[in-house]
Amino acid sequence: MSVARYAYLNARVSVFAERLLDLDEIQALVEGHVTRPGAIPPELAREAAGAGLADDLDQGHITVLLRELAVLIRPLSGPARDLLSYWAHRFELTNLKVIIRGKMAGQPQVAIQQDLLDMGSLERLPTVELVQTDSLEELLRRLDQTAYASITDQARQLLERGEALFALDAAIDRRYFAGLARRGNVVDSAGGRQLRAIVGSVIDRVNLVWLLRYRFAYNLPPAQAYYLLIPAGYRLSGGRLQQLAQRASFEEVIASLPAPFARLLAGTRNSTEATLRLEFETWHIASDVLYHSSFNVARALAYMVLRERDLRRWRAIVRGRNLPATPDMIRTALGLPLPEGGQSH
Amino acid sequence: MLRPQRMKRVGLVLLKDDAPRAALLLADYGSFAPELTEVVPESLPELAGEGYRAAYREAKTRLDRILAHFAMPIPDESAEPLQAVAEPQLREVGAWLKETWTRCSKAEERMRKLREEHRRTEQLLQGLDRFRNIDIDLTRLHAKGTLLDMRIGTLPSANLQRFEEALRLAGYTAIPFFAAEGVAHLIIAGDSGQAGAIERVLQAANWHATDVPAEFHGKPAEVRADLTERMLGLDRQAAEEERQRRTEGARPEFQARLVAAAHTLRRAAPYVQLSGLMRGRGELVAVSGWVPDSGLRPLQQCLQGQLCGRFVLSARAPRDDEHMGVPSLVSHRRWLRPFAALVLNYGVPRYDEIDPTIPFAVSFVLMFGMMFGDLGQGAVIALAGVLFSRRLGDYGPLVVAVGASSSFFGLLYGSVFGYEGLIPAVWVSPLSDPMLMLRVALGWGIGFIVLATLLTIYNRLIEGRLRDALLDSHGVAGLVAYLGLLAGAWRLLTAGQLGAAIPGVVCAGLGAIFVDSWEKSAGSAFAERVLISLVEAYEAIMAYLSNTVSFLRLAAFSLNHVALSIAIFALGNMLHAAGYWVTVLLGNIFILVLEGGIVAIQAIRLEYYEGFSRFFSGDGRPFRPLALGSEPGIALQDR
Repeated sequence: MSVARYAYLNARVSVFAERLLDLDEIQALVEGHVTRPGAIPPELAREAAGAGLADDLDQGHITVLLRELAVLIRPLSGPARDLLSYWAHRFELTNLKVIIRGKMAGQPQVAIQQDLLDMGSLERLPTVELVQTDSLEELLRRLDQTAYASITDQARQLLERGEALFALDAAIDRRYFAGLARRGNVVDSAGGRQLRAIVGSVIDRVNLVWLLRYRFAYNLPPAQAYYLLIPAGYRLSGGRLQQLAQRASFEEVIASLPAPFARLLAGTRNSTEATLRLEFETWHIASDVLYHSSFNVARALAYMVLRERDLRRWRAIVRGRNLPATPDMIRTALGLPLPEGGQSH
Repeated sequence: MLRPQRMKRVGLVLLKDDAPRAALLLADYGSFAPELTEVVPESLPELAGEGYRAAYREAKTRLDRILAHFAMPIPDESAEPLQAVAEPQLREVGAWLKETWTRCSKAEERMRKLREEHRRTEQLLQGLDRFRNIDIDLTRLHAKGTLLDMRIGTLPSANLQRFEEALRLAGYTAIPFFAAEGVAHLIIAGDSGQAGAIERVLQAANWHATDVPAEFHGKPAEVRADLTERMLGLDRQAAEEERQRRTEGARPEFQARLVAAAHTLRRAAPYVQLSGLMRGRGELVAVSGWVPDSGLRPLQQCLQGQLCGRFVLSARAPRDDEHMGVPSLVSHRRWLRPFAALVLNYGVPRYDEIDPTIPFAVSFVLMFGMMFGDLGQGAVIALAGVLFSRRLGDYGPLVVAVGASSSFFGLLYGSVFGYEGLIPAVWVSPLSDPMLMLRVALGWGIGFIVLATLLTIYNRLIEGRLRDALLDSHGVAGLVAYLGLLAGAWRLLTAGQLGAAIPGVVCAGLGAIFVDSWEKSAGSAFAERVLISLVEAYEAIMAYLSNTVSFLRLAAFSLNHVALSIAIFALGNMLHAAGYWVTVLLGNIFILVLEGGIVAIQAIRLEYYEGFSRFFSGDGRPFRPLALGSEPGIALQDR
């Protein structure tokens, strides 16, 4: 049944998967060597060859991701299609934050418009209409008519109190990841288990990193730090997160982690390093799904996760070269093993 | 009439200051489709009117919102003289619109707050009885205790579970006592020493503190009265806001200024559209576009009269390499417009292509009549077309035409409101000779397909695709094979033998299609090429035959029409006099609506799939002239 249902998707993902870069190819790119054709989309490769490219590369790589995603979601329907579309929706959150910040700062419409990402056919927010509003109050009234109505009330309260944007950003992100977890749970077709493994690893990573950041970088009290986490957990349940939130130091949290996080994060010194290590675990799970399962929707999500990883690495390499940074500095930033046998993941 | 109008590519160079006026003139002229100027960017590197466009967009957005705020319709077209709008004037209008919209926006915000407050108070009123059941003294909620911190408020129900868990981490407890419309009402209590930490959780959870009346626990009736009074007060404020909105919207001077602003923006719109395609240097700007051949002189005269010679207008015929990009302007008499609209629904003819509107109109009307031949019902359709001409708009003539055709065929069939024999059939009653009807339908189909193929050949010759015109399955080769097959079938039926020439003709046609397909599949493996070419030739013949058979539905529906009428009379005959006439009346209405609709769809289907798909590419570029207002539409000109 799933073979017939996902035959096209499976074939498309397999074709796309040929574009993914393995570690040797990434190392070669870091050294400035040319990789095989097709791995880096031509438009990004062209931009990289030009001057003053760094700012445009973000839109470029999102365009590539959205283009490939549009191909993958075409044969899907129902919850599976909803999940994959929603995955791309997080780029639009950036647009929403840009618009809110721009309006708060009283930026002209043209300036806000220039900072927005083009979501193409996957756009859900009435971006133009939001940008054309004259005041923050009007913006929030327009947002009331969108899927973001649930955050506008909170936004008004925060603005009335003159609070920092941090709380609003946190509410937007939290709402997004809660939606992702909910959508991951309702896909019950082939690959549902693998899908939840990928989504779960993302949710657990975000929760753990946020907890570390809120508690020990922003010094938030345990109750607030816990409340701001995503109300979903896979290997890190709500009870476990409550316990971790009450630990007094970064090291205590790391020492109290359950398996496999204790092993993954042993010796971690800060939340940036924790993010990198947990991302490697998500990529490992996604690779496993992509290369060791077939005819399911999870492979499509796995491909998108890995493709995004590659494009982000490519962006970092290009930016590193433009700085200019040495290959070893770029490797360290990417968490890649150093040629002399440095830190390996 | 059978081809889109001949076009000229024009280039207009003028003074920058004259550009808004020129744009207005061109929009009023109504037959100028703008294009990006052909002048190389190095010669004219500057973009024109960027500030103007930005000012227009902002002003237009605000105008639309103001009109929506006051629930006003978009003002009618202005009869005032065509005065160009200068940028300072546009900005002045924009400033007034901004000021007006700021006022409206504040009023909308006040109304939103009133609605929100009303909703909360209403919920509080609903939860009043629940308050009374809580076994604590609620007056203590006002008192800031040194040990115990108690609060009452609301938060989104979706946040409740995580909120309760977070509160427990701070040593607090929550008592939900009411929930409605996704909002939970609750009391929280805990150690006052944790109040600072809890504040931040409350903020993150979108907590709204509830204002509890001091007498809450003691005199519920008074509390209810207090809350009711509060709601009435909110209603009064909302009514006052609404009254103010209506009063302001109804002020004649305000309305006049709003209409004037709308007209100013309307007159500014052509330049906004045109300036995006303009390039300039210093005081000069250039724009390019397409104009119908016949409209070139009037355009020259119009510009000359208004710009007093301060322009240079050049014109040339379309180059061979740009024919695909030349817009198609189809022009027809008014009665043909509904048919043209149906053709455009399929696609726009290319600039050089045959415009199929007239053959479409003739064949559509005839096919409808043949399938739905009834003198009485046709007259009803035609009459409806006349009586409801205003409501039907452009489609009125189409309804009258198909009604007249139906009546004409009803006369030929001798059918009046389903009655066969009431009048003598001028030609034949379909049910009396079904084979004749099938032969006629087949003959019609053959004629239709031959005509469509000839049009295909003509279009390809015009486009310079000689090879396709000769060797393609929709070209001469396909037509030869098709006619050969038809001749063979005819010979077999009449003489009982094929003869020597006919197989040769068919093979020649198929051979040409095979060779053409073979050449087009160059690059493929030998076996694959053979397979492709064989399938191509086979598919061509099958398509011709199946398309021809498809026209048998003309006969089938004419028979179906009679059969349906017989069924209705059979039903009516089972009833008494009144029941009979009611059945006949309802049956005729049923046939008119249901069968009439089906027949119309079948006729369109035959046109689109058996006709248009053969010869009509439909991928032409529509002629979209610059127009007063904002969005230009596809031009359908009256002759």
